Amino acid sequence: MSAPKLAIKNLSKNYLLTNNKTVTALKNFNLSVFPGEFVSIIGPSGCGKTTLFNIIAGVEKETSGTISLDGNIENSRRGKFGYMFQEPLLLPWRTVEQNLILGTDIKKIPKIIAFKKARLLLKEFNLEKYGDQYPSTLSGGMKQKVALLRTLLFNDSFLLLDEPFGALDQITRNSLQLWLKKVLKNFKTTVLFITHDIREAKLLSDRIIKL
Amino acid sequence: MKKYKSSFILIIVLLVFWEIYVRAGFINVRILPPPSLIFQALFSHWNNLLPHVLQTLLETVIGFLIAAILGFVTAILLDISPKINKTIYPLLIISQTIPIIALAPLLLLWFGFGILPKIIIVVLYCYFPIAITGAGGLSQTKKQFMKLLTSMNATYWQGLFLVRFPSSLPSFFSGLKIAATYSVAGAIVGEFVGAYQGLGVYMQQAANSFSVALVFASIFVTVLLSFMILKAVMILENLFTCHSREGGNPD
Repeated sequence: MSAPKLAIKNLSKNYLLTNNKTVTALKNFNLSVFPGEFVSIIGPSGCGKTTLFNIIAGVEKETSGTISLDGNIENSRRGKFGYMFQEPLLLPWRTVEQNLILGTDIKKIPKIIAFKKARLLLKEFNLEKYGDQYPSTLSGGMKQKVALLRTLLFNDSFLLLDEPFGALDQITRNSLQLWLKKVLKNFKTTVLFITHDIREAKLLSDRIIKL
Repeated sequence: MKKYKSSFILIIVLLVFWEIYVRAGFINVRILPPPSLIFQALFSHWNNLLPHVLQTLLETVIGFLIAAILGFVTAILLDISPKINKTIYPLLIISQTIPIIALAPLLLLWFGFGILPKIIIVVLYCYFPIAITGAGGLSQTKKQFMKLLTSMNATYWQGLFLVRFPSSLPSFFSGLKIAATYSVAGAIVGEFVGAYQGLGVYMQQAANSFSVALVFASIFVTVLLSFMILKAVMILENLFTCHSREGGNPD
């Protein structure tokens, strides 16, 4: 077996409350994710799934433990993962195409190249007719698709997907699960996926972990 | 225009009532001239009035633009660090307790009878609402957007210009609209204290010669100017924030 793409060792996260008490969100958590693997994390609400993603993505700081990416311990992990949140978080004043290039704007990739990539991606998944539309005109499912493509355009090597279909109705959810499978077939992407839905985890994952 | 139909009708009704009330002799025409006489005075003295209108408009527009720029810069300063915010914010609030009208004679002493003191007064009137609503808008950026930016390793300035400033535009425009309604009045306050030209000067001259109709005509022009500036801000707001509003979601 190849070396893990992501290795989490003894990761803990404590929050200090205003009354000086501490709450443990994660305790000595260990996980290895291998290149190209799709790993789902399931667990009840409040068990620390989103905290785990926030720490991996560098949005929050761990209390203790190490996170290695491609064998190197990474202390500054911001920008090294494509992180998709539960909400699509599309910028309402930007068109679909402009939303797709948000991450590439931050990476300072020239606009002409970024737009070219965005258009190619939209074309590849038959969404090119939505390129000029604003998020307010899109359905919930379509917004999630755009958010996923934005995440992929930012970083297609490692995705953190935090319940991306959690707020959708069952029919849209089913169709998006199949769409996600189709999208990921085209990329050699490693994915960590949070879900409450065991059926969804079984359908999409190579491995399921209970937190 | 349709949504203002009822307000427009109410204004017409009030003007007709005013006209009938004065014409019926309930009040002396010299004390309260009817609207028809005011409009008549406005049209017959328009050539005299125009240079004063242009002067006030110039002071207002320059003052308003400077206030907008200063307000924007202050909002960013308040946002950059909590330390700066803690130092500047209380001073801004305290500054609002100083009556600007009391500062007008001082400004006149320092800067003379030219355009500068009027512009400064307009800036003082307009700056505060723009700075405060702007800073409020920036601080209220959705937390999830901030997390998204952090996960993408965006710098403070990238976050500000790509996400936080555009998302705070509705707040900025609220401040600009409040300031727009104050702006002309600010210029006129400055002109009242001392000026060679402007609507404030014209109003005083009209009042000194007991021409109440001309005072009312100047007030009407003041209202019109304020409305024009407000409308210009609203057009800009519509242009910049139309897509930020939630539209019809196909869900």
